[in-house]
Amino acid sequence: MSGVQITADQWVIWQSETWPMVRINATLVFTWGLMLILVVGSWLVTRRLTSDTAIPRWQNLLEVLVTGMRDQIREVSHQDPGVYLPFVGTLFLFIAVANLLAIVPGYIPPTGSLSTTAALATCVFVAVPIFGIASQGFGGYLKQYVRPTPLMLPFNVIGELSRTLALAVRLYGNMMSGTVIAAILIGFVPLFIPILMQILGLLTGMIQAYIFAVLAMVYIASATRAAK
Amino acid sequence: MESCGGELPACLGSYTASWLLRQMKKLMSIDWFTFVAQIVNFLILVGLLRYFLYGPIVRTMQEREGRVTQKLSDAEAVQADAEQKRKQLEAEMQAIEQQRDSLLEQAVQEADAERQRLVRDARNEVESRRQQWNQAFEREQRDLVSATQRQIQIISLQAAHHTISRLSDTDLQSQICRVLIRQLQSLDESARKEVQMQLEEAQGIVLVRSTKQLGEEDRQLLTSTISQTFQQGSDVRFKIDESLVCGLEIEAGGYSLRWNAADTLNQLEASVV
Repeated sequence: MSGVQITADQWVIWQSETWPMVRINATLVFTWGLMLILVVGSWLVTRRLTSDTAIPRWQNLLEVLVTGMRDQIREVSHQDPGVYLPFVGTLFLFIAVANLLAIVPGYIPPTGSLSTTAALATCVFVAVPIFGIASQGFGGYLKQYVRPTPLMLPFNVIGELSRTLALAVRLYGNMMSGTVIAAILIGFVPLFIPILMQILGLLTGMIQAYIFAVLAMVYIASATRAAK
Repeated sequence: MESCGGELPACLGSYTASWLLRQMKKLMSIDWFTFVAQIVNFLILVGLLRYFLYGPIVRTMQEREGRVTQKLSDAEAVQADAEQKRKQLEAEMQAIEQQRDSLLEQAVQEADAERQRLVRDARNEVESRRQQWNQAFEREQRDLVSATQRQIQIISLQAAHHTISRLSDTDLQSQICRVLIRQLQSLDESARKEVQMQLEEAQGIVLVRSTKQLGEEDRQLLTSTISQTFQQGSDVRFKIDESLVCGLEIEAGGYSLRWNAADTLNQLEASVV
C-alpha cells in the first residue's frame, strides 16, 4: 500500500544488512514504548505504596485494576488468582494500553499487527498446557484430549489450534479494521467521522483486551479445573 | 501496473482485485522476527510487571486487608468486651437498685418502727411523768395534810402543855404525889423485891424529881412511904425538873415510877406523828 501503512510491521525503522530478516519495525518500537510506560508507571506508583486506608490516587487506580483482574480471574476459574494474575493481567494491560494509545497521533497499535497477536496467542497456546500440567500433571492434562471419548482426540487438537488462531485473528482483525477504516475515512471525510470512529475504536480496543484476557483465562481454567 | 487487454472497466476491476489481494496478503503475513521478538517482549513484560506491579500491589492489599481484619477483630473483641461490661454494669446497676430499694424499704420500716417506738416511749414517759407528778402531788398533798395535822397537833399539844403547866400548882402536885404514894403502896410483892434489888445496887439512893418544890408534908409522906415500901433508911433526894411539865418521877436504881404530863404529852405526840 503506497503512502499508508496499515500495520506497523511494514514500517521498518532499522534493518540488519547481515541478516535482512532482522529488522526493527514500528511494532517492536511501539511495543517497547508500551513496556516502558507500563513498567515505569508501575515503578513510579509502587515505589511508595502505603497500606493505610487513605492512599494516593494512582495507587488507588492500580489497586482497582489489580483487584478487578483478580476478581475476574477468580470468577472465571473459581481458583485463587495469584498464579494466573501476572500472565492474564499482563495480557489485558498490554492489549488495553496498546489499544487506548491509538488516540495518539502517529501511533499504530502493535495489536494491529498479526505478528503481535499471533505471538500473544502463541503465548496463551503454550501457557495453557503449562498451567494444566502444573495443576493436574502431565497425564492428567493429556487425558482431557480423549474426553469424553478417544474419538474426540482429533477434534480436541483441532479445537486447541483453531481457538489459538481465532484468538490471534480476532484481535488482529478488530484492531486492523479500525485502523484501516480510520485511514480510509480520513481520505474521504476528514472531519468528525474519523473522531467518532476513533472513539468507537477505543471502545472496541477495550472490549478486545477484555475478551482476549478472559478467553485466555477460560482456556487456562478449562485445562486446570479438572483437578480442582 | 499489470497489462490489461480488455475494456477499461474490466481492466479497472481486475486491477482493483489484484491490489486488494496484494494488500490482504501483506496484511495477513506474519513477520516471524517480530513474532518471536513480541513473544520475548511479552514474557519480559510479564516478569517486569510481576515484579513492579502485581507483587507490590497484592502484598500491599493483603497487608491492608490483614490490618483491617485485625482491626475488625480487635473492634469485635472490644465490642464484645464492652457488651459484656455493659451487661455486667446493668446487672450491677440492677443489683444496686434492688439493694437500694430494699435498704430504702428497710429504712422506712426502721424509721416507722423508730417513730412508733419514740411515740410509745414519749407516751410512756408522759404517762410515767404524769403518774410521778400525780404521786408527787398526792404525796405533797398528804405531806401538807399531815404537816398541817402535825402542826395543829403540836400547836394543840403546846397549848395543852402550856395550859397544864399554867394549871400545875402545889395542890395538883400534892394530888399527884398522893397518886404515886398509892401506886407505891399497891405494888405487888415481885415488883417490890425487884425494886429492892435495884435499890441495893444503887446504894439506897432514891431520886424524886418534881416540876415544883414539894411541900414538907408531901416530902415526909413520900419518904416514909418509900422507906416502908422498899427499904428502911433509903436516901431519898428531891430535885426540881421543869421538863416534866406537871407531875412527879421516882427513880430507884433502874426502876422508875412516875406520873407527869410530859410523858402523856410525849405519848400523844408520838402517836400523832
